[in-house]
Amino acid sequence: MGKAGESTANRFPNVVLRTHDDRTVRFYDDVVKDKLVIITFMFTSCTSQCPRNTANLAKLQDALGNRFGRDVFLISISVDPERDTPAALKAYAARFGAKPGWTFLTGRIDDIDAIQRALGVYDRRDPAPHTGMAIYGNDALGQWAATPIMQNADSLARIVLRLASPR
Amino acid sequence: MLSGHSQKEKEAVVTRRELLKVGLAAGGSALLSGGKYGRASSLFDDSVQRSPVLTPFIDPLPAIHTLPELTRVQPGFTDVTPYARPFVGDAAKDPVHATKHFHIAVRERYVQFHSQLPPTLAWTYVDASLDPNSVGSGLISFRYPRIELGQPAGGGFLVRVSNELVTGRRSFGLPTMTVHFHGGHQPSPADGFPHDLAKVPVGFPDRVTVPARANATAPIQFFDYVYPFRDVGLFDGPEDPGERPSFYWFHDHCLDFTGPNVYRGIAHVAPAFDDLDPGDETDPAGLGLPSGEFDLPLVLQDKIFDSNGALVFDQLNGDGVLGDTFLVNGVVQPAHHVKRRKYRIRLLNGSNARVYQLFITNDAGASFPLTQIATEGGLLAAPVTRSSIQLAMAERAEFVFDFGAFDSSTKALYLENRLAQTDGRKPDGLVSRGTKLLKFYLDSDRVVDSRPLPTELRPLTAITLAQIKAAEPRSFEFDRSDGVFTINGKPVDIEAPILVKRNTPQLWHFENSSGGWWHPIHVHCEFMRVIRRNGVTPPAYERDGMAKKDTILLRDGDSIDMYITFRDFPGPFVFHCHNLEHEDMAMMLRYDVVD
Repeated sequence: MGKAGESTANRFPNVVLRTHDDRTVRFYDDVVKDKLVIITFMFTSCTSQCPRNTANLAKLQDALGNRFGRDVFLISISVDPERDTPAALKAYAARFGAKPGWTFLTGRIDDIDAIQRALGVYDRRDPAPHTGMAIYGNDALGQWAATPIMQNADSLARIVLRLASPR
Repeated sequence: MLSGHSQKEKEAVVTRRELLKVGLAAGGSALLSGGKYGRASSLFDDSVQRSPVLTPFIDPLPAIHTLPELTRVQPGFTDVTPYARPFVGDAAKDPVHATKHFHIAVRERYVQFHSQLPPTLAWTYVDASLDPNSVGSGLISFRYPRIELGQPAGGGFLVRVSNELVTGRRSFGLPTMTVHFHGGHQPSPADGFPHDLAKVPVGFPDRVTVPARANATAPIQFFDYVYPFRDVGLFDGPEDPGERPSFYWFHDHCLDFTGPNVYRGIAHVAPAFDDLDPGDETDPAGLGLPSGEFDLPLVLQDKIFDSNGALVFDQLNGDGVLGDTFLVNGVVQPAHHVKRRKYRIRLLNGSNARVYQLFITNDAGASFPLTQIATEGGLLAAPVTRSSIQLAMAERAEFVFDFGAFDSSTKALYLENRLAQTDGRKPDGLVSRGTKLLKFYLDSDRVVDSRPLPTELRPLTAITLAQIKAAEPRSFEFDRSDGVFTINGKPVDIEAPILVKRNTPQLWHFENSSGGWWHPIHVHCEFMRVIRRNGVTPPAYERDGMAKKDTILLRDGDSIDMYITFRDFPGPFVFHCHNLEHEDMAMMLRYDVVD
């Protein structure tokens, strides 16, 4: 008998990625599995929307207070992984005051394409394929949605925390 | 048999599920190897049939249950949500105008969508007094009272909605409920606002959404929705006879999760009546429109099921989620026995992202004209004969069809959708043989018919050129940039409204510049008067003077000029695309009505 909600199983490619502090992680097993995450796409040399988006995400970590890094995690994935080495991402993270709980990721371009496709934000017609939407979801509950990055950080925190697992 | 699979059965179920997952994964990788280039969504190929193939026309069309199904709570609730108290009539002081109290629960329950499918766990609005273990279509409805011209129409309705869902269960959708009475004219706290605000406007409740319970024994939370259902003028001015019944529906409106929540079943219809349209064809004071069993509300939806009957939904498909299986009133391709006489057929497009073009057809593929009598805004000024009706998401259309016009050689007719659509962005185009959604069996003799359809229905005075010129102009562009749906360049920020002056006529220009996407735009609180489509007079079934609209379709490149006045209720409302995935992907704007 059918329970709804198992449709998103297997949707996330379990590809190998590198973090800004040069750790190797698997996208599903280590980044998404059983967690409440906010996933955004960026590249360090972007001069249009990324800097203001990233600055707003820096405010979001504060807005999430003590739940940040414990109940909620922020994931920023480079769409220019060949130039965005772990070192470049580390410098970028430091520039925006990223706290523990915020992970920047790089990897093989095909793998990052696969993640973008899985999250419904892939658009090959776009020369800089990143998006102003943050994908957020709680893998433990199977609930996923998207919300604009550029909105009041407190509001963004309230929106995302609706998906926190009951404690 | 609602629970309790044997261990062996459970294993079989798991195996089938695993097989299905493999199937989906394989489909995914086929997509990755580059069949559909530039596609924003990912997981599924919409053109592939994934649901089990079901035999059409073997299940009966479920009736829409009306008022007696609901628990009418008397004398009422003692703990009414504070904002609603001023709207509640005191039965002891004024029994005629007492507010009627109803209680709806949002409940997870098994629904039999087709006799060949296992029961499906769905979220439904149900009569709160219903046995929690019952299996059923989950459909309920209620009718508004008759409104007497010149008289207050009773004290309106107070509908308590209790959220019996439980958090922490693995499932798509968010079990936080907020009920939008779509097409209704209600105070902003009762409008099903999408989210609890951080910066709360004066007079607006801190909490308008109803959270699920942490566990099955935790207290059930509720919210009281007040639907005054009175002529606008009764609040602060002369009565406005334009405020009249129509074919309302109500559905969840939770920020970022409306699509999955509605898809899981949180939607229902509510036809309403008055003195001109009393729901009784024998009433000499009314228009004599077909009533009772001859008044058929039809809710059109499309869904995907897995082999266990579970609903399948891609939460991150921002193009729009299409189903491969078609339901009418919550049953896959049902059949209905009709009498040889006139019927009133009410259509609601309750799909997330599918546009329909509906024909009445026979087995040979011939189609027959329909006489449209109403839109979202209720009865048209006069009937309009059409060969088919295109219906975008959330749109309603009503037509009269005479099954008595066919001789005994015609045994069956169909409601058929001939608009092909394989992508949530927009339909592909018309096809000569579409999908038959509903089969009508014409198997009786001729029976007593309703009166001939009048040539005039509900008079509607068109907005004058002088009024249009005096209105406050405003322009809204619906677009997509950097992978984000926008209105005037911005995705929704629920804390950042635009302001609209109360009781000040507006002339809003809508423009769809998004290139390749269709957007049905729904404005809350008031009906739209459509003045121009693409710079010229719109077709009769949507133009001012004939029709009022609460949802207007912008095909790619379309523009609309519409007139609207937010006459009375202050506070936050929204307008948005009613492709529910576009709405959830931020194609929404909050406006606050202010003095």
